[in-house]
Amino acid sequence: MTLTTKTVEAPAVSPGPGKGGRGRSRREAGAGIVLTIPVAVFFVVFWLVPFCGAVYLSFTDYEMAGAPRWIGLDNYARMLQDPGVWNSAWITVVYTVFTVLPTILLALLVAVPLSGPGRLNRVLRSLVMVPAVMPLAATSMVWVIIYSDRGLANTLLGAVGIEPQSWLTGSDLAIWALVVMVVWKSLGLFVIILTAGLQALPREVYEAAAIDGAGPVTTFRRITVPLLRRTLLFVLVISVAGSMQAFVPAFLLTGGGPADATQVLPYYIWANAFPYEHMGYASALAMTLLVAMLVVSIVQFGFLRGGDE
Amino acid sequence: MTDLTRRRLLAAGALSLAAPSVLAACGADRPERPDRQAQDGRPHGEVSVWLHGSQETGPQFEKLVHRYIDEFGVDVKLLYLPVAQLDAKLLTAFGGGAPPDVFKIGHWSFPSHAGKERLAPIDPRAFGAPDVATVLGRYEPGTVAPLSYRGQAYGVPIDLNPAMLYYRRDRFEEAGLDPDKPPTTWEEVAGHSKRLTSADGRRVGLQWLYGDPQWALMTLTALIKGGGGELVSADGTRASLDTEHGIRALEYFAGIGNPRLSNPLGALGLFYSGEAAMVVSGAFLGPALERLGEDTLKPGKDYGVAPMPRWEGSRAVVPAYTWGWGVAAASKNGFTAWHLINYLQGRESVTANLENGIVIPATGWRDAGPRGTSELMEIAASGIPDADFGPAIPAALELAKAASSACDAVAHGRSTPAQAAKDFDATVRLAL
Repeated sequence: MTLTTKTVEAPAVSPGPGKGGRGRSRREAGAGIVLTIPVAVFFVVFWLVPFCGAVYLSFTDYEMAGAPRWIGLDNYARMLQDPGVWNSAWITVVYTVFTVLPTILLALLVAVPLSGPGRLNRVLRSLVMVPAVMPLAATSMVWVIIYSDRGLANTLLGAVGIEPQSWLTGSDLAIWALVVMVVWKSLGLFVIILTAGLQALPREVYEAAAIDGAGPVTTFRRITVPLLRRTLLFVLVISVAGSMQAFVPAFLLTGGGPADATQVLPYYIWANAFPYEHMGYASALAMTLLVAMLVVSIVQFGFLRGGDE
Repeated sequence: MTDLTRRRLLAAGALSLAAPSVLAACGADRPERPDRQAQDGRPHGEVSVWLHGSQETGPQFEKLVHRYIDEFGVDVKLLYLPVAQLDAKLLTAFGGGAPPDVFKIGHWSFPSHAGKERLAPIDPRAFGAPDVATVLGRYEPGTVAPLSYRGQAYGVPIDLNPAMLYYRRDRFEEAGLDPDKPPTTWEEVAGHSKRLTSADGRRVGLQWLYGDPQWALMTLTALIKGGGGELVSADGTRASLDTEHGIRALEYFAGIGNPRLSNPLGALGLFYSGEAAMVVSGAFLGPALERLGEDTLKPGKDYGVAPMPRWEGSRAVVPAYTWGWGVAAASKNGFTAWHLINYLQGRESVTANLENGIVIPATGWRDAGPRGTSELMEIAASGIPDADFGPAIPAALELAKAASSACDAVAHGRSTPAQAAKDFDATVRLAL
């Protein structure tokens, strides 16, 4: 049996604010800067440069050939005269409102019972996430089948004696068909976020409320919702931003039709950029959408932050 | 150790900075001009070809390409794309400076690409011809014009489709209409459609191809120009629907068909299923109906074909479209690209395509196979002299989309004809 000894060195003591300390700080700062370079390069190349390029293009006439021609605010003035912009803007508003509000309300209603402990709740929370983890393109194809003439939607209507509907070819129904699909798709993610928020709420407040005789509705309205304000703000901001940028459902389910009834603004931007090659005009539309999203986000923050105190 | 780590980190950082430049350099490889290629007059090298696939013509096409590869030792890279994605993908390829050598695009795309100097003019040497006029002279008169821009020919036609009227004989008989007397005027089409439409609107007479920009433009062309009006000015700088003829055309469009009916194959699928008794389509539809599903439709027995209707007492206007082979101006191998196209347009190809309802309008195309003498091809051929391919303008796609928006808006009841016409005018004013 051999006795081995190992000397453990004392941890380095941070030097004082002398010359050596400043040198080490500089080295560490340098290493930190070097470590951030790949991310910074990625950010500059794939975000900042394209963004600045898009801002510049929005003031030019550029049709993917030759050099962009500076035209000042002409693209922005053109929007005011373009019937397609107004149609798309209105559809985007309708689409955003009717995908965001039902999704958050439903998610909250589902999250409250699912936030409790228990194996069944864990299983249900996993199941509700299934649509959220499916690729949007695949989901869209599934819903094309559901909405087909002899698809699940019309079969269910037929079971209760309602005539089959033209879900994707009727200009009055198509936007609602998209809304239903998007609510179904987004619900799971928001349920999980809200469940996490609910589980983090202090139990003592609920216990105190129960002692004071508060019922479930009062507890939900007076305690759960106010305490969940920050989580709701997060969900609201990401869902509004997501809906205002939504492109895939309209592209894959309806192609912006019928009769432009589902031509949301991102689809209209794409159409101007690619089939028509109006990169300058499409960039101006994108900048306008960006500003609209910023304004809406700021309003949301202001509205939901009020009362934090 | 610390210094060594820092050096490594610096090297990694420098590599990160250099990587985008290296990647950018990969795409900056400027192509050689076609004039420098094949100075010996022989095809060589590699040619990439983008086209939309077809279950029917695919095997025959590939057989021909493989024979070309064997015969000339050229490496041909085929890429099949869904027809709806071909234009966007090609556009991004042009934008990225890496287009394919050869591509098959609709005639409506030629002016836009040609105007931006993306297309190579026809190289007559590759066709074994002394000049371009000789090459064009090998095609039916008028069928190469839509592939030209400002007097320069940029493509040769494949899949020419003058519009014609298809009708279901069984539906005509059910409605008490004579299946041997299809409607010849738009007035008759409206009358027949009324009798053929069921009370619930789920079975209709004529069904338009809703939501299809090119067909909407073709339909409006037939209805407006056939009535003596003008949709687009001769110089292509103005277009209007807010005219007597334009409003009348939109009213007529809205009064026929049911835009809410759906089928995975669109109006053509509705015609196959019998829900639509009439449909306007091209020469390709007949052979397609003979192959579709289990209950194939036979010409003369199940369905009939008639020339494109005209307004009572007015001249015939036959809207038409064609696909065409084009070559990228940036192609490194332009001579070989045109040489391959010439090979693919040969007699054997004309015959094989004709059997599938694909018309390559080379002179004498109707003699190339037994289908050439069919009633369908007789009607297609008779429509060529009156064929109207629409305006050859760079904004043709936008014009077609605006036409589709106007037609669909009135058909769905989202706009009155007058409002839809005003929206069309406002949209195209910005585009033209």
